[in-house]
Amino acid sequence: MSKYYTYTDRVYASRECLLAALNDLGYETVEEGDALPLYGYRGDRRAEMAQLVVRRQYVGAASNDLGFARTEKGYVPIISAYDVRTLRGGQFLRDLGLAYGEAVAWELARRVRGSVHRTVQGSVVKLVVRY
Amino acid sequence: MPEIEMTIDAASGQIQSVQIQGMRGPHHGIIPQHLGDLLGKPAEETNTPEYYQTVTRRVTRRGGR
Repeated sequence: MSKYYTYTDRVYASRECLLAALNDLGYETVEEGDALPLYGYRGDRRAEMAQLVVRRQYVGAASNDLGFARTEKGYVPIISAYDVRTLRGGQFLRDLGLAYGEAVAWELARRVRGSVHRTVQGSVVKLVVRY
Repeated sequence: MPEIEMTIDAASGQIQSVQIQGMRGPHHGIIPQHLGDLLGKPAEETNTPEYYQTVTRRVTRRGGR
């Protein structure tokens, strides 16, 4: 049984952008509720609760549910140690962060009627919204 | 042309900085509010030299005293 961890240093302030980022990574089905329990890969109910949940059947055969708990600052991921280690080659949180940043840039562009320009400079992804 | 530049660390996926450029004075309008909605409160906020530049408007009257 893999232990769940809450990554409080990864905060996604916007629900819409988080859903867009999850969708971008291929997680199109997200359950939403006030206090949804998380389940492990054997169907065992865990103590952790979340407001947004990607159920394990949409994640992977040996995976556990992916949860996002709503806090004052935004949504924080609750992910099992197994999934952090294995999803997307162990880069799930990195990929979600990049996808979230892109979703934010596109949402900003939509709000200001601007355009998004993306470049990669070494280890930095630069997103510029012009308006 | 005003722009918002966001940098993300490709190795961690975490946002490093967000900068509003091309606008003089503290008149960024609604942009900081949008950024707050989407990214939350910044850990650190610094005003660029542009922020302290004043925007003056000259009005010329004709035919008056």
